[in-house]
Amino acid sequence: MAGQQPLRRLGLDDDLVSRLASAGLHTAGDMFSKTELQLVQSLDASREKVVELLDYVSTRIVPEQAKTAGDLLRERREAGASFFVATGIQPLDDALQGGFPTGMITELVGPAGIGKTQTCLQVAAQACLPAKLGGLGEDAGVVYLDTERKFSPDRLVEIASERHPGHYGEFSTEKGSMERLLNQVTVFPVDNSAALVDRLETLQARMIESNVRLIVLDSIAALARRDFAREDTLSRQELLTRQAAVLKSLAYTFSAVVLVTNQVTTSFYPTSGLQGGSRQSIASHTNSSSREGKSAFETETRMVMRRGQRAATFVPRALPYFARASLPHLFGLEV
Amino acid sequence: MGSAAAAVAGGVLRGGLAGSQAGASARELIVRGRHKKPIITFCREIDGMMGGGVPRGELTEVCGTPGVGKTQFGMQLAVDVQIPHQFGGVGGGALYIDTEGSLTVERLSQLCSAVVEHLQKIARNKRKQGVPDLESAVPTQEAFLGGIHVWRLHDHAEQLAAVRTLPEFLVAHPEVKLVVMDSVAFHFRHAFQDMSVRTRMLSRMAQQLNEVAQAHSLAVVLVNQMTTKVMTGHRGESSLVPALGESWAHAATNRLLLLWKGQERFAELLKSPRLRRKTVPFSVVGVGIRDTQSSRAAAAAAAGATAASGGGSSSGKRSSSASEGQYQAAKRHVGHHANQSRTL
Repeated sequence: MAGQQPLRRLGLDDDLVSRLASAGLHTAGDMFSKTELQLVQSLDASREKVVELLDYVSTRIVPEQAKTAGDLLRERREAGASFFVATGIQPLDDALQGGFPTGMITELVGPAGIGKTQTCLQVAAQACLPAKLGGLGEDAGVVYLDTERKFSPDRLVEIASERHPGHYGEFSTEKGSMERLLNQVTVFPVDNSAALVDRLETLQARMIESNVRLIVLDSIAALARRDFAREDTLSRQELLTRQAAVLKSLAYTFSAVVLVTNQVTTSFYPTSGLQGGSRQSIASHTNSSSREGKSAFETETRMVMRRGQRAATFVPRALPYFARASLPHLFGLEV
Repeated sequence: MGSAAAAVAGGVLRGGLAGSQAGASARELIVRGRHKKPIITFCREIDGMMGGGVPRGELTEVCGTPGVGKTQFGMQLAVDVQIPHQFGGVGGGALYIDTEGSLTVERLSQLCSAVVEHLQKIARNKRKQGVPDLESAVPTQEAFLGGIHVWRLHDHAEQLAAVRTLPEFLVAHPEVKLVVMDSVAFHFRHAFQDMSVRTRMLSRMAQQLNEVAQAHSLAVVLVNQMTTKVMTGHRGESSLVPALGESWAHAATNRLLLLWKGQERFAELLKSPRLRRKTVPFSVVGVGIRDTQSSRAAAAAAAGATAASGGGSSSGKRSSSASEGQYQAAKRHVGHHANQSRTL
């Protein structure tokens, strides 16, 4: 995030940097928080100089981006299969045009015991596959942020060998593939929101080191509930928004898949269509009295899992409209 | 009286010299306004409500709950602004400032190909009516995608800096007639201890955006989220309001709220200096933002009535298939602008 970058890295001369520092201005963000008048006073410079300085800092911190939507689409197409991590469930992957997309957050929502964690484990196993098998590559890393101590390495092994016997199974020709998988996945227990924010903010170095392409956060709801009383909606939203900002930035910068699980606090409307019904009832980690189902997390794709006919419904907000479909009977997961 | 007359005469003499500091007569403003064709949304109901589309030279805020179609709205406009003059469009380019990462180019390419198909269809129909070759004027899908500049910004400082560098960008890209900021609020909703600092930053940003909007006849579309507001004195009850608070509410000239009512999406014009407050239905379908089935049917019935009385401008045979109907509706819609005969 360029706004947090120290001003001294922006090519300003040392004298100016020390003058800025003695005025308490260390980052571009600091500078923008002041009015021009305040800057004129604290730097003892003319208004023209201040404007010039602000303009210079602006051009330095704005990311270089001479890209059009056409360029971006070409880049994604060239990245090909590794743009998505397949879920391994064919109709679902078809609807999602390949799987969960990199570069953005996908939220899994559902009641307890529906299979959210199982899905996460399955996607983790899938992500570690070579690209030709629908994964993100064998050099890809997975970070699993476990807030409820639900991660089970044994279950991961089980799912991997059942879903991909050719690759991970007992008689696999790929030597050491299971060993590799287990090394690709790093699990961090996270106990509270503050710890999560800390973890997320230090994740950047690891993202580069271990080529992390999948971040699983299972689950966000547990943290928020643990930390805040119900009436404290505002600070809860504030913290969630902050977490979302860091996650989105990581997802985009490292073209990683970010998978976040969440719970529902109110029941689904059984008769109404899912677009309407579930939308109103995913109060999740936000104010459950809000009828509109406001989610502070603002995820790009939301997958709603329901009990009953074992259906999973996707509400991919950013993905093509026709993918917004109810897909009954497709969850082949044995939970 | 005399000085007013002088201003009028001066205005006429200066002609199209927009952005002059000397002030302008109301008459001159009307003349200028004619050159600032609004950007259509492809939903007749919304266009009608907004006086022809999203206005240029002003800020328009679009707010609503997640999933209601704010980003779809922004993407649709980024495509629509590029509809060539020959088809009654603005023939401009777009800048999409993506602060959340919610722009999906795959979806954008769908919207582009739908518009390309619409335009090709119009061109073919026009040829049948003896209008010379419009088909070569239809841009390709690649051209549409290439006409949308995308900036991805990661924090509020980058966002403020980007707005500061906008004038420079617009000089280098004079064709850009639409700037979408999706969303304004995201980076401003966290990491602020001092709310007065945030308010100041936002109002300054709004002011800068307003300046470039006027100077370059830009439509600036600001996507905003909804936030929970705890009502004081209502036993802790809360309601949903557009994010960023009371002072931000003054930033945009127009404010459009997208909302769900049951299974249907509606757009409500909450604020406009010219137009009546109104609520109309719209839908988000495979090809983009469109009218709802029911309002299409109503429009078709009305068009049928005028056609029967001999005043219809676009009769066109009506197909039974839904998507055909949609194309027809869109065609009539764009054709409308092309004919410059918005009399409905």
